Amino acid sequence: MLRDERISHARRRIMAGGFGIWYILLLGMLYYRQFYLGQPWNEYWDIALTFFIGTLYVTMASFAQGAVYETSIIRQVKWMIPSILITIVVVMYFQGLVNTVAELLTVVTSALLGLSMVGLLAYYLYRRWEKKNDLAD
Amino acid sequence: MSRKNRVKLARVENDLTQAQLADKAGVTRQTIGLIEAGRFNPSLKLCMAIAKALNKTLDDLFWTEEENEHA
Repeated sequence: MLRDERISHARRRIMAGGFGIWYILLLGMLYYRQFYLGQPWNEYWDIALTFFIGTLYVTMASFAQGAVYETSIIRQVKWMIPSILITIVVVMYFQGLVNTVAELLTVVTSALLGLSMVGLLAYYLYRRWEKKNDLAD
Repeated sequence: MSRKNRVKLARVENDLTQAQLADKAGVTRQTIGLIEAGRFNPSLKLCMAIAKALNKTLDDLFWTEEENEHA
């Protein structure tokens, strides 16, 4: 079968656009259920899990295929970690899962541990990609 | 810097239709049409396939010009 690069490029662009729309709508659904409807998380965990898997795939695939600007990784992480932490704390507060300082510390510690693991995995994937392509320093 | 090409001229010189050149290069007729019109930027691999199909070098077919060169 004929494989035309123009058609492949156009399809990829369309799929990427479609993914972007789907991703933003999923995020909107999460916010709507969380803050407008005030639903408990176990009523929309399926949407949250879908959003999480999609986000994790995009992040890990970007690192594993070297699709990140190395110089901006630290700058991005500096912004990402506080933003994610604040989001987790705010959502859990609205869910009534964080009421005391001890609970807050548990949430922050768990989130930091989880984020560190994701960060380490991303760093490993990026270095592996560099090594595979003989680009390591 | 604008991209220029002489694919259409070379194709006519070789007495080929867009569909025939597309067959030789392994793409669709529409892609050849867009390349000739400068509305699709082909990969190096496709440029080489087109150059081979037309018995030309890459330099014969593709080049760039500064925007203000002819201003």
